[in-house]
Amino acid sequence: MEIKFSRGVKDNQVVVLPQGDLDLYASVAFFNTVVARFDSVADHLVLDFSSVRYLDSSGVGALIRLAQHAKTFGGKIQLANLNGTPKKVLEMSNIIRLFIVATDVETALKSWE
Amino acid sequence: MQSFIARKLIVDDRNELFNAQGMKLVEYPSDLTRVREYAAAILVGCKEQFLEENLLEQQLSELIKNAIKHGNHSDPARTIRVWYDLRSRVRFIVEDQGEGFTNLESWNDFFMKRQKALHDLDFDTFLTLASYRGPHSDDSDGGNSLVTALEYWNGGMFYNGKKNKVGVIRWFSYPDAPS
Repeated sequence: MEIKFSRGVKDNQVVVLPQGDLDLYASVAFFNTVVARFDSVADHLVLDFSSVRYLDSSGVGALIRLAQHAKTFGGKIQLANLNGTPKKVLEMSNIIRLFIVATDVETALKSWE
Repeated sequence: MQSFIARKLIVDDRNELFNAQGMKLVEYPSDLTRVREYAAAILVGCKEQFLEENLLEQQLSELIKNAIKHGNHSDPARTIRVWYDLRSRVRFIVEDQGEGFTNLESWNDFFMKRQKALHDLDFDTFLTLASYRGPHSDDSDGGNSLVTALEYWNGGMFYNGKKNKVGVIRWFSYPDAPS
């Protein structure tokens, strides 16, 4: 899985674009890569799901660990462009309740202005 | 106030979901790197409306992963067997050669507390309970495959007495059922 990072409107905002399947083979590396860029300085994270078509329980676990990490320093996470199977899996697991879901990245960033 | 109803994993050795008559059978080695490949192979020819994009593949992969990883501990000397019927709804029986899901009741306790926290809108507690940690859990485990499975397999999900075999069924709103 390739993961692209970009800065949001403000310096503390990070936009993460994972590309590929967030599954049992990719989820641990995904978490380790993202958590390294998400701290008390870069504390507002947007996860852009526009290029993720498959999410399994390992991927759900990675998202939970990011939410738990965010809680340690008051970080904020929004999920953007969430559709299809990833959205259904997060709804069925109720984990979607842990996150703010934005229509798209622009909307997510704007909500933090 | 809305009533609190929680689902749970059920052991029922005599459940009709373990009747494999008319089902196809495949057997695979315990190779964790091939979980999705196994699921995809089983679903070749499956009706489009049953696939729900790749949701069915995702749910079947979870059953296979659990059998290989937690059941057989990825022991290459052990195999898993999958019975399947994809005709008018989807049905699977997945069996491993392990000692059985010995933490089933512990998982049910975890799930009950998790759902109660959600019902009470206690998100701090929910976050601490979002992942199940069993004695052999690693960073990619969290019990969420079973949480979603209880939702997805809308016709039932049962374990056999030894708890090394699970039977599941999903019905669809507009199945292409024979008249």
